[in-house]
Amino acid sequence: MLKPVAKDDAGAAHRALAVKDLHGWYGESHILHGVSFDIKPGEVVTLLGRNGAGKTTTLRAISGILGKRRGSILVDGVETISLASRHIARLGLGYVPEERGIFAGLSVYENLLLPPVVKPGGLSLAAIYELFPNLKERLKSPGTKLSGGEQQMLAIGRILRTGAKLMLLDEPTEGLAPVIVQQIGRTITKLKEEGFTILLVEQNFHFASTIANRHFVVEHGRVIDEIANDQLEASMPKLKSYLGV
Amino acid sequence: MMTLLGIPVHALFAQLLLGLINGSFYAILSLGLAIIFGLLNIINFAHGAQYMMGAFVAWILLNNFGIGYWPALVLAPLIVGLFGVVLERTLIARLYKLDHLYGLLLTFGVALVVQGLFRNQYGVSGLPYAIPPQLSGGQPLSFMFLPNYRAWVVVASLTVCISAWLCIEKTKLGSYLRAATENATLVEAFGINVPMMLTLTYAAGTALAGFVGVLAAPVLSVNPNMGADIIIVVFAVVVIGGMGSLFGAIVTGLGLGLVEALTKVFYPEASTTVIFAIMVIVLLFKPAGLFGKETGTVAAASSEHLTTSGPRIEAKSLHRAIIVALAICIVLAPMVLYPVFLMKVLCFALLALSFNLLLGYGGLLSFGHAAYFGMSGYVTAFAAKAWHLSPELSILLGVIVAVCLGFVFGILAVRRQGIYFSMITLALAQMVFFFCVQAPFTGGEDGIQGVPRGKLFGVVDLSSDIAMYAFIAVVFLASLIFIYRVIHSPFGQTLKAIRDNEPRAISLGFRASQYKIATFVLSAGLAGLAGSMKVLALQLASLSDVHWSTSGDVVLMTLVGGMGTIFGPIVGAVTMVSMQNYLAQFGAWVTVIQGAIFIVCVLLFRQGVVGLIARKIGRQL
Repeated sequence: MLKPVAKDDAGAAHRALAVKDLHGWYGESHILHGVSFDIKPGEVVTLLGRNGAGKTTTLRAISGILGKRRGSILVDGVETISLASRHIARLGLGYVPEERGIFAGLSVYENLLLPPVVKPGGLSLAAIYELFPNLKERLKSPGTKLSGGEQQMLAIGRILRTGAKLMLLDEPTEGLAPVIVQQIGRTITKLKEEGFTILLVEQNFHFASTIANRHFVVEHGRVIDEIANDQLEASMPKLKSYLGV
Repeated sequence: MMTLLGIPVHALFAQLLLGLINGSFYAILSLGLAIIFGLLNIINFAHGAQYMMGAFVAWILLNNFGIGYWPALVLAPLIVGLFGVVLERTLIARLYKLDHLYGLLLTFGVALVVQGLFRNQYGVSGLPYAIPPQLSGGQPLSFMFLPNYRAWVVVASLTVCISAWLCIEKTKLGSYLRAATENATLVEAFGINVPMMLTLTYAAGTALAGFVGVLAAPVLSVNPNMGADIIIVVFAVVVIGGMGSLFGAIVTGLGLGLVEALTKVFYPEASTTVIFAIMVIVLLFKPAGLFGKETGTVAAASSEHLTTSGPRIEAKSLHRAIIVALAICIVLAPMVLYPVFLMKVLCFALLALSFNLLLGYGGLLSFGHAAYFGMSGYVTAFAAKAWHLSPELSILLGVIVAVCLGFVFGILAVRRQGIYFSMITLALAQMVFFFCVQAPFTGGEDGIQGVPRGKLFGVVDLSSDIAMYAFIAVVFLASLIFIYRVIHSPFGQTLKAIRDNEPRAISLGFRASQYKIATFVLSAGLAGLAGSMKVLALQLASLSDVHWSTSGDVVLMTLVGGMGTIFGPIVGAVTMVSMQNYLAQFGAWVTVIQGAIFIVCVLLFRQGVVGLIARKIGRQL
């Protein structure tokens, strides 16, 4: 059974997500070496870091699709480290993978309806069409016939329907035209206003700085620094040394 | 009476109706196979056995419980589906992280067990199942007499086909299935219970097979072997249609049923082989199948490779010592054991060695080694008996035929990878089997008996068992050393590289297909050598050597001994031939035991005996 952690446990229950000393493996290779960070409800937080630092792996570990993981991941106060990914999703966690995961054998409409509703309070289809008008015009097309930007909208849109309040977005702006990036940015801001909690992996930290509250820097499978968004200007030299080549 | 191209019209339509019935059976069975393969990545070899179970459950319901056809039409698929649930939960679910071929081997074992059990209980003569009274009789039409039951079978199976297709293509449940076929991990991450879907999908596929079984019961006789015959044809149908499209599976099944019927009318001799011939043509011109999606030529590397990666330490001196010890054993063995039995063991050991060259070192699971083994046996027997050729020439002829056969099969089979490769070799071997059943020189059911052993090079009289044994022992040891050399040659190294990672080997400039064909030919030649020698040793060439069950035996020998080990096949052959010898008194239980060994090996014992020892002592064997 899923037991909520006692309320007096030093604020953990007030976190939408609390990751502590998370280790993760792909087969034999040890990728995550003790990732720790947490997110308050309604926050937008990014993971920044170089390629191969372990950002995507962290998201995969949180969503439960990484084969081998250890440590502690509390989703809304519930320990998920030993749960199967389908049970984690049922706690109200929505995952948008880097490759977007649009199904070629399903129409746009079927893709949109695929993830089951896990919590009440998800967006209605009408609200999703309002957010992403492009989708409404392409409902009958096969999912992968959409443009990259439309696929990204579909990948986000279908999660919004489920009522998940905690969203993991893996590089939602990757390879998209600037005008689409802006649209995704506006969407994330809007979701933030509506109380969604969002964990974002981003390479484009100018984009990240326009929407996020805080940034965690990931390196060698650990979180090595935390930067509040209003400290970003002041921390530029430090960030450059983390992310620069 | 009206005729068309010299055939009476009513006979033509009667055959076409039968073709439509067979075609709709093929359609449902291949649909089930395709659904299961799509989601579970398993070729369900037990599909034929489950079809047979459907027919038997209907028969048992009627004869033991007095439950008639109509309730059985619902109950039997449910019972067979429940069997599918148990099978998937207890056995198949353990294989999802392994290579596809293990699924094929496991379900092959299950098929053997199920068929063996039914054969023990009900014999092989076939049981009658009456047409339900509501559907007896028929309609006289102007061009033919239409039996009601046959019309019902066509309507019912087409309805089920189309409903299954609509259910998958148009419903919410179907969208889950299609999505999970593409990316099960992500579907599960959305909160859908994928393991449950896998179980239910397998159950649904088997229930479809059971349903066909019930439909078939009044048309065909209820017989434990009915599934084994149809499954190989269905494999060919699947190869022709390609498993990418469910609609394609339905259309191909129906079309091939009709083609088969037309062949029966116009050229009856070819009716058993026409589907396999079409498969060959399709492979030549459209290797991915008529409705298959052109995927990359190379399958993605699987998580656990077929051959378990054993210790890497080479041990040449150890190998030399083992070969010497083996030679001493072979010399001493006739003092304690019956030479004919030993000859049989050596021939099967050589067959298993040849098979292992292909599977263990080339990663190619051929399910058709019986074709070379049996065919070369027939040629040798015929040459020795009818043409009075000397034994060495008879054997040479047999080997040449096997090599040619291997070359043709190899060219066709390497056009597809993985399980398709296995299905193609199985279908081609079945074609050879039907050829041998019909060709006049093989003697049909009697085989070629009393094959003279003759004088080797005109000097050594092989009619004494000891002389024959000595000859086979020498050839066997020479072949073993030859195979050992091949495995350790640059050719063998390249072959292993292709097995482990074909795209990488190709990118390094190796022509993977040519290496595979060469190995295939080599393996076929050695298998032919084994078959030729066995015929001379036992002085009998029979249909059992070309039958698919012999191909299964060889796979089992290699699996038990340890695939990808040098000496494993020998150990496996000794074990299995002795087992067949000493268990012969148990009759059909042998199949059940063999099937059970298959299952145990695949689940618990994938390295085999020799693989296990090699791991213990940390040396390659």
